[in-house]
Amino acid sequence: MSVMPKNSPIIACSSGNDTNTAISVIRCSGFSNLNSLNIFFKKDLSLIGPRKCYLTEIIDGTTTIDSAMIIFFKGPNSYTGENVLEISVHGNKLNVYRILELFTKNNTFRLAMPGEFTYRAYLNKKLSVSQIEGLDLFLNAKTPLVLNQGIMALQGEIHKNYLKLYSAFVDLKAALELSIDFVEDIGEKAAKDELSIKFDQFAGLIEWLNQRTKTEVSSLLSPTIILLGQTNAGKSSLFNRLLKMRRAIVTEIHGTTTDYISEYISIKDTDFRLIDTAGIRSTKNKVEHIGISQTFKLIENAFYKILIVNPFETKSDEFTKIEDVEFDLLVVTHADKEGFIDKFQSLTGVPKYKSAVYMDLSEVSIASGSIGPKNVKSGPIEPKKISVGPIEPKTLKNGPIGPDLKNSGPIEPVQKSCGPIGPNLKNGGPIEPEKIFNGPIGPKQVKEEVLLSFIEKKYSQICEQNPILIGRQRQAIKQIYFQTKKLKDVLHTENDVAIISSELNILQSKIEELIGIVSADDVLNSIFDNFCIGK
Amino acid sequence: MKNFNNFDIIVVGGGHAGIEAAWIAAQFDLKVCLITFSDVEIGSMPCNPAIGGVGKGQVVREIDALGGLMGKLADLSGIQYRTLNQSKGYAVQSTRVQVDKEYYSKLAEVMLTTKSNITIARNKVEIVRLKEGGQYVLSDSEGNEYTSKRLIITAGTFINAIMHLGEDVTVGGVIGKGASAEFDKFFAGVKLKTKRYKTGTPARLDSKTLNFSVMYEQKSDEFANNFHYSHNFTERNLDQVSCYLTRTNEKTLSIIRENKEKSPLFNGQIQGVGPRYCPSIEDKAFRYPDRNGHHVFIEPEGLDAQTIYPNGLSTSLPKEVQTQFLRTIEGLEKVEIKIYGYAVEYDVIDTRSLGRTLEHNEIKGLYFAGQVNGTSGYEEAAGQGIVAGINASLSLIDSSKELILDRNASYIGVMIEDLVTKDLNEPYRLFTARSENRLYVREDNAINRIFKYRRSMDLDLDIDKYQTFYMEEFNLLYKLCEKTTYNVSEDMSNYFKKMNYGPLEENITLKELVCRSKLEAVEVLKGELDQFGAKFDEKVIKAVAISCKYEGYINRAHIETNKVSRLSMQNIDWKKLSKSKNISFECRQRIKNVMPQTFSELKSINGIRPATLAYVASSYLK
Repeated sequence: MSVMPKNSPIIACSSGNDTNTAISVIRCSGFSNLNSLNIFFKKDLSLIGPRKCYLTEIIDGTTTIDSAMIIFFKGPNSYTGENVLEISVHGNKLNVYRILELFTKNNTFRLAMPGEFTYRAYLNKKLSVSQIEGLDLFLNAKTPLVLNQGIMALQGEIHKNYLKLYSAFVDLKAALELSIDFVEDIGEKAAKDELSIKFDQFAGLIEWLNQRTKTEVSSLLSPTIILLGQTNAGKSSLFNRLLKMRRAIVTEIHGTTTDYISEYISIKDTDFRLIDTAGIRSTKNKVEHIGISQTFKLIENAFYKILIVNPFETKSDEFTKIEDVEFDLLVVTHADKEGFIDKFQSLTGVPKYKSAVYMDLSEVSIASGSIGPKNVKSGPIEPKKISVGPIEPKTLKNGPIGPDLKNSGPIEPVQKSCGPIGPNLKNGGPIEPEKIFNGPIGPKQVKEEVLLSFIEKKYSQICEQNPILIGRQRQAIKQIYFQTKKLKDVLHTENDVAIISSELNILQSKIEELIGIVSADDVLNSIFDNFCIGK
Repeated sequence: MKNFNNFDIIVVGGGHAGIEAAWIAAQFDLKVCLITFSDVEIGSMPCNPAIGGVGKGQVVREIDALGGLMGKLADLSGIQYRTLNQSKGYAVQSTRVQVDKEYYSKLAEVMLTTKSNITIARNKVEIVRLKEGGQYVLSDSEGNEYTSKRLIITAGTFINAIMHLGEDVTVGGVIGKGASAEFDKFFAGVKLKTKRYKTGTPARLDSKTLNFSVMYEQKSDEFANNFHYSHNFTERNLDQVSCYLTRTNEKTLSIIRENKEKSPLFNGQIQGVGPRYCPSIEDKAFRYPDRNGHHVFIEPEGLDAQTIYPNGLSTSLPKEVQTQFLRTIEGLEKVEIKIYGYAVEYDVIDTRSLGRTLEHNEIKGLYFAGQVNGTSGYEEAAGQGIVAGINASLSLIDSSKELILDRNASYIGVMIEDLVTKDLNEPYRLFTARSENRLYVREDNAINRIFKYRRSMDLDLDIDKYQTFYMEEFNLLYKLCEKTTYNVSEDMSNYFKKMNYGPLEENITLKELVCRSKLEAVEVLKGELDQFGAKFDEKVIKAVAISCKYEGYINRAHIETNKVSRLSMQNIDWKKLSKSKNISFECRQRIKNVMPQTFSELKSINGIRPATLAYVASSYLK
């Protein structure tokens, strides 16, 4: 960070400064002597002790500007490792601005650059690279998972694991050297055993870390649920039903194209962006084509992918566009219609999926069909209103019968429908679809709650794995993992220890990168350039 | 009283460092005096009777390529050869030769005394003075005076040396030989390490009392390669004998453990630091209580000598305990001891006060080499001896010249850099692990590595003519390997099949063939050259084949190290770091002791924390 001049005293408002708030906290760091700040305060600062709170007034000459609570942290026992003064003032934007002006006008302080407090903390060894990365995560977290991970990284938990990996590596390297330089002392077999024990220990650690990088990160930082299906499959109906149940307080809309609409729904403290896509259809229209390719991008990054199929209005050839996508859930609609089984059986080319359910969306789909997400310009209200409408008659209709009872009628036909679904299972679908269609109870029409619980389950499973979310670390871990696998092959096929050892050296440089011994500069530059950390 | 005046160089000490220094200085036609104890053999082996070993074999070849003695002496007195790490690839392979130690010393003396410009004085140096004008004046115990322009001290373990055998403590560095108390006064101006070093040696056994039939025999390897450039690879000067392998057992160790209070190492009598890599049997017994046996190598000390060196049993326990534990070992049940094991404590100089030429930084014209510098091993001593000898000579001939071996090109370079830059705290031995460039610093290519240094000495002796010839042959053959192509054809495919070379799917060069991972590089090249009827020196063939094989790996390693070295080569201000409040006290102490100049030196400090490195990398380097 050569751009940041070192050592000069800096100041910034550390609490949000775009709006008026009750209190704002202004932070000063790097002044050599607290008494030099006496001109700004009514209180004689030579009388105050560190880590104690004092009420005083901020003065400009003889004029009082504001009253303030101040706390002095004497370096190195402060966030930055330098002398720090924290000043809590009234949080009026103008007030804060005026105070900052006062402190900077005689060059006593200059305004801090983005991330400069944290950068100083790093320089003064108050934080490690991975802690800073954790802080970044923490301050910008949108989900509890990210928040948790951020605080863990910030507290040095992740760094500890990396140091553990490093020391396992050092042991591994020592074992190899032992087999070269001291083989006469300890014997060939003992040396070999030692090497394989140390390799296994190291490989176990990196395997564990690598496991934690497997989750698609972009899907976790701001998770989305995507609804995909052909026109009139019932996407919009499902969208509206889910929305009705769990509409998040946030109503920010991200969809900027006419190709999809999105809303936030909240499942167990986590906000998911629910996206109703444009649907897939063959088109020769160029503009629409671009829209569809954007849809594919959405699909790729989605946390949970739902494919909705109405077997009565499905063109199998349209599946070819999404044949490579693996869906989390297949929702089959219109199961109560006559000829459902035949229709379903005749479907070909259905993409892979992990679970399957059917839902009765028939009436709704008519309603939403008329709206067609394409025609709705990201309007949050309209679809919602409409979706509310049609649902009620549905409950009335289903109410007396009870969805489960009603659906126990077509048990047999649906069971037969396992036929066509079978092949899909082979394509990689795990057990769940079988449970739903084949289970002891028989097929089950699910309601939105069940669907939400699927999503919640997937999310909590991933959280349990405690994934590593920081891109640079994930990258480094993957590289180490890859190099470890290569090393394993080399250990099996190569007798030349010098060659093995040169593979080991490459591994070492990658581990050093992970810990931040090497190219720490680059790491930090990219962090501080991209984020405004702990300002 | 006689006056031996006007030497160019005086070497004090006739051990492995001293004789190399004298020998190489004589090649420059300088007038050399070697002063050594009258009752110690020249180039004697007070410990194990072997030359070479892992990492050390490479050093012997480097000494040989610089024009040294050791390789020649070892070949001519070798009685059992081994190639260590034979199955582990060429880069870490090393030759080790058991020698007839008496013969070795005699040979060394003959070679030195037949050089007309070397004078050997057998006396004890007592007083050293440095006159104004930079002339050294030495007086020996007989009152003789010697003067010279340069002084090389290779005093081994003799500075303030004390020997321990059980409770018996005697002054001296080698059994039966006195230390030089007066001589030590001169070193008031030379900084010694605060910690004394310790070394030890096992008892010597009467070979007639051993039962070899119950031990595992290790025959001499008839294919192991000689060290000296002008010797054939496998010719042997003396008859070959076997070494044997046996083991200590529970009984051996329990006797040692029962006598802990009698062990000078463990009852506080010895304060010095011994090498961790060469532990005494007491160390093994007490430090590793779980182990109940260790290898013991039974090594004859010569063809006619009746003594056996039991490698792995170094000890300073009392005589009766030594006899007792030795007799528990298989094959040694009736053993008689000729000389008992003992430990020596001695002072070593702080080698950080030396430069890379091994000249003292403050006292001009004074050089140190060998065990006095805190190293262990004959090869390490000899390697320093020759470097000190060359530099002392060059400084007299052309003051602008000096010989500094790069650590990337030689183990001697690694050693000297480590000695003068690191705060070492135990006797220093070379391991292959100490080199960052192990794939290149090999036995087979020692001449390639050393050629430019030898040539910079501007001498024109037989060895220089040979090296010029060797390098021409090497380059020619290397080009041949790159240019010769095997084109795909049915005949050629059949030939590849017949030779087990693997498939021939596209045209490949001879070099690519040699590099194939499943093939024996040297054998393939040799075989192919025979096919072509091309004649090359067998040393050249071997070096070319192995160089071809490693080229890709070495290049890749360079790319990796360059990535790292962008950072590593940057200078750091250790003084500033040693005051930084952001570095732990412990790390600051280490930085103060080592005084690292570059980031890579900082990185190599023992026990430096990753956090410190990350800190320095980010805040001090750009």
